[in-house]
Amino acid sequence: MRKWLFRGLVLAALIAAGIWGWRIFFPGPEQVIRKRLAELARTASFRSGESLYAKFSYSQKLTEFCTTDVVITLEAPGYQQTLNGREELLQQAAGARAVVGSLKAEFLDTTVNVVAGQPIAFANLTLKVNLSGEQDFLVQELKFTFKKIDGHWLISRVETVKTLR
Amino acid sequence: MGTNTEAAQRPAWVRIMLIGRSPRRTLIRIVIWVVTCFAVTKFVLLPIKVEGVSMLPTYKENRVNFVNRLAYIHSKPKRGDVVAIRLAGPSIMYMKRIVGLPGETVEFREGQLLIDGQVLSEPYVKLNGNWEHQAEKVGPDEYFVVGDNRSMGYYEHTKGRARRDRIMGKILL
Repeated sequence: MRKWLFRGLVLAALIAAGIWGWRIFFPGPEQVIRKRLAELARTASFRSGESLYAKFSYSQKLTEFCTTDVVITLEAPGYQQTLNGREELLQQAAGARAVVGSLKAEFLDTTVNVVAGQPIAFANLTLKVNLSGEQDFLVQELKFTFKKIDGHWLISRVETVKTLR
Repeated sequence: MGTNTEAAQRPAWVRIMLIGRSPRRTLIRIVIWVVTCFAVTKFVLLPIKVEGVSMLPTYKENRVNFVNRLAYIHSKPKRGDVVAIRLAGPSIMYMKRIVGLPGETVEFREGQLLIDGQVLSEPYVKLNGNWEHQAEKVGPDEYFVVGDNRSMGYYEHTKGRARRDRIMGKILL
């Protein structure tokens, strides 16, 4: 009985390790998108004292997460801005990096929905931003639309979600 | 001889102090405690840390509180309840007071809150402002929520209509 129990446990552990390994080496679209979002948050974050080259290079890298026709719509009470395309995003990102001392972006509570049979996915998350080491932080719920182009999941749309209307 | 016995007994006492007389029972107790704590803090009482000034002076910054997730299982949210409203998930939530119920009209005039045209008495508001905002109808499955600190500008303060499914629970303390 004990022998069979031990064998069962070993088998269960092997199956679990196999599934874990499979997910590491062959990640599904959801895992890929989550990884992309984590990378995006890291790229969008910066510390004070960045060189001009670093500012430009990270801003440029930020645009590489997006499709060429990306649309970013940001809305807050008394504020609205829409960015169309990578060029506008690059200008805004470089401008923000020049003005703001430091920024730490985090994506929390991310849920990813991949549309079955289509190269489209949606991600809902809470963006938490700390500016210049301040204790207070900004939060905003966002919805990302991803499109799979040439095997890469790229952001085609970002819009703010109104938690309170 | 006596010293050797004491030395031999000491680890036994340490063991009893740490893991009890029956390690198996202790392990079961630990597992039960861990599972209970996890279940309670996940599904019954969510621990939260208050950040920001929008609920001053009722709730000060950096204080720990709990969200009672079972508060609205058998009853509906009431006016005056302080609730937690989720964003994309429970990691960050807004802490606000319900002032407007479904179907009501909410309006701010000279800093006073009007519900269906009648001034609402708000003894919890100690930091007043002079907010002005036209009447707004609350939807059938919505609640109008606002913080107690009205001394900041109208647009600097996060408030508005929250869908019922966004209300995670009632603030416990």
